[in-house]
Amino acid sequence: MSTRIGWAIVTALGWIVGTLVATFVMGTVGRAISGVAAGLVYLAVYGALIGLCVAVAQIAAKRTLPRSWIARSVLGFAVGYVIVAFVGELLGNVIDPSLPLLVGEGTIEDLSGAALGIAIGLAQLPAIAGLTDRRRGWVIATAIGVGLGYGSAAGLIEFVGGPVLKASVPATFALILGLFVGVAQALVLRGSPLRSQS
Amino acid sequence: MLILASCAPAPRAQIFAKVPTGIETCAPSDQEQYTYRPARLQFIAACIRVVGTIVETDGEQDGDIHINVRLDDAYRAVLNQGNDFEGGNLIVEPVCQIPPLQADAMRVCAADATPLGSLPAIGDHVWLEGRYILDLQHHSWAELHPLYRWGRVTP
Repeated sequence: MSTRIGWAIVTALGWIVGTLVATFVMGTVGRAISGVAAGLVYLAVYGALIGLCVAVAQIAAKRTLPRSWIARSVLGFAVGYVIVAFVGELLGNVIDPSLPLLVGEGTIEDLSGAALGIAIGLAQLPAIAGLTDRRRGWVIATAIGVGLGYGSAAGLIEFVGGPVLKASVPATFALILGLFVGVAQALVLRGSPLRSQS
Repeated sequence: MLILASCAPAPRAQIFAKVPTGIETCAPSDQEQYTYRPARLQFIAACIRVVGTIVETDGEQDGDIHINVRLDDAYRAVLNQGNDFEGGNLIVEPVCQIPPLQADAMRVCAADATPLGSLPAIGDHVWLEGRYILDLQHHSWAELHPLYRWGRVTP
């Protein structure tokens, strides 16, 4: 399996597992921290759990990544999800609710997702030496991947729906989002085999 | 008459409504403050009580549960033409039931430490109390959003 396809797959799998774990944990015991700092701690932990699962999946497949990959990813996801909430809320209050859903909601989700992507990409920058030389490209690809993934996931579930896509909304959302991110990041990876030690 | 407009689709700014005669009002709960982006929901009344049968429930990416309720005849006056897009059912949405995936709902729900607990199941005949609004993003159909409380109707 090529590096690029493998990266896209493990990223999507990590995002699915992470979202399901975060949804379960935060939907149960996580409620205890809902009131702390107006929900910001809750969001940071929610993001950190997803980031942890994504990073573990990626590092298990790409052994040349440094151990700091996990900590940097967790940090990027945690900060990113806090930022996403504020960007989403800000755009939500600015954009006319009577706009067609695809335009209004699409803009909110795409731009919010891009903000999350920038946070993740920047946090991972010091640890990407084993992946790519294109530092700026990594941040841009992650921002585009998360942005388009966020918007596409929200749009597909809202407009297409159906029993398959809605069987598990968190898993479907994470699958679509993770694939967009994985593919976007894969485009700037070096072309070495996934498990290469060199 | 719930909708004070002609049968032709009206511009959204002209759609307005009031609580139909005979519909009982009630007291809101703290869930009122956890509805994200309130501008998308046109307020009609702080709390009304309806009775009906649950026909469908569905998790939403904004963290809400979307419940379709077939209202008893005495309560169908709260519906409008928009509800035809949902099979003529009232939409009822308890908020922040699952961690939202949608960006603009995240912080609002993250701060909700006491979301409504258990929810009715499909087939249950129940009374429901919630804020009566029109959903401007979805055909301006009538909803109870958020749901404040509910209970089974005893025969």
